[in-house]
Amino acid sequence: MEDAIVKLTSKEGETFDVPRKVAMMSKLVKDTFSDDDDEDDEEDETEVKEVPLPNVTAPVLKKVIEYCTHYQDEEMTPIQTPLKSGTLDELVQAWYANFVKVDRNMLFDLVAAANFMDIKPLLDLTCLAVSILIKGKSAQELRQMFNISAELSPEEQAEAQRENAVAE
Amino acid sequence: MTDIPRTRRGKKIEAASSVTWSNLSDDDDDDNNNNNDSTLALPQLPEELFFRISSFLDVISLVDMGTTNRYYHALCQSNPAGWTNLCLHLWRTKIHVAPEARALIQENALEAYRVACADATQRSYVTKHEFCYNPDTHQGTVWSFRFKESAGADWTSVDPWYRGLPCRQMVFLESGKGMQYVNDNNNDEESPRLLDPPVPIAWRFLTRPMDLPQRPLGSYVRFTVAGRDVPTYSVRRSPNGNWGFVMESCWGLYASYPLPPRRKKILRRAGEEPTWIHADEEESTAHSSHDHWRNKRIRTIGHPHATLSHDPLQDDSQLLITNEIQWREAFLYNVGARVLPEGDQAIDDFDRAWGGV
Repeated sequence: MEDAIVKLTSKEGETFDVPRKVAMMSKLVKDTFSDDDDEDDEEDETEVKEVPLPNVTAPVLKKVIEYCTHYQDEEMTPIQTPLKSGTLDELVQAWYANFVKVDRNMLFDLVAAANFMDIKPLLDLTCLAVSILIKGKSAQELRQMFNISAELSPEEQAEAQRENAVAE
Repeated sequence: MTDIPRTRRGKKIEAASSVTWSNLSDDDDDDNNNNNDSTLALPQLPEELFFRISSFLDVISLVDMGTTNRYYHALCQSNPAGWTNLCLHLWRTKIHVAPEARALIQENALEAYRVACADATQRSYVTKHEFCYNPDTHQGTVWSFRFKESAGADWTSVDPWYRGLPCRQMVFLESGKGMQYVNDNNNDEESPRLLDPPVPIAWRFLTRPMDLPQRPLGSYVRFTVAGRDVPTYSVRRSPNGNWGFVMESCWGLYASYPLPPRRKKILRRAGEEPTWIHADEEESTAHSSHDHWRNKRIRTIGHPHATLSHDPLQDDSQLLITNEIQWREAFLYNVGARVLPEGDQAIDDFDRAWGGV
């Protein structure tokens, strides 16, 4: 069973052959299997499974598979809050810190893919990486960075400033 | 106009703010939704994903994020944005968190955070509930006591703290009685035990002692020891930032948590002039060159998260009530007065009685 292959199909229809153990990091994939196991018995264990992932593009899926493959050799240190540091390299191993050093669009796509495929450690890592992007930025910088538009009303701005004062 | 992203379950945010869903969806996100490509930018993230991200943020970043627009303002104020955990984490290390704040955490954790911080920085008096100990439930505050150097050797020589031992511990019952608190950590039925002190101790709150300005009830404590009033104890928050309370007179110090052990000074004989230095600094100075020591100091000072090398209550340097400040009460006690006057007239009466000292 260790060598069994799962075919993961991206939005574009591109198919990736992935060892079953690697693919099973995704709870979505895992659930697909257990659903089938309920209905059928042993016979389809040998069958090559194909899981369509219509929300995930090929470049993103490739990254996800890279993550899950590396995870087999070196499990990611679980991320615990409150964070002990503000830099990725001090929170997870170097490989994982480098893994999320990607452009912003890819990072958001990875968040979405990790969420859709239900891969908790990857979701934690990518959300952490986004939070580090947010840290230390002013509201103006954040608006530019994330393409957020609307301003607050004056009352809300005043209220936000009061909060700031409390937070020191 | 695209709708505001919601969670799949359409769960409403719990923000107790004036921002509602109806006014959120009006003028928001005009530009953001133009890029309808496959990329999921932050403005399109479902709530629950945003909360996963925001749960990693510190207070400042969370508040800054909330100033970007109305949608994020409401999100960043809600409990699941991270405020519940921020409260719990902050409070874990604090001695006295305002009960109002604790009561608020379910309903509005941001408000609870704000109330707790405001209370800790602005309220410097104790409530009766915080001051007292309930002998039936064993709930309440155990006060650690030590003399100050200014009490003189007669007193400090019999104080275990000055011999490097744990402080004496006291509790105060609502009836007005003070008792010694002994905890042997034996886990038996007898522990902790409350003992009658060698001489009776009574307590009460007062608001205007002779030498100090009027403050709210719970700001000053009058102890009567063996039938004699001792100089007033003045209450404030602990200078070490743990939200505990301390109370001090010109001669004694109480803290509402275990006081740190004494900071030992040793006489350093190296070099030309023997000098007194703190024992915890000795290691870094005694056996190293001058340059090394200087570098070490610079590094310590430059580090933004450098913690205090010692607790401010390990010696008397951070204490405020001196013999000079409380001189009238100290004088009256020393000449044998049984009762220390209080109230606005006390100083005038004192001057009249002692010929306008």
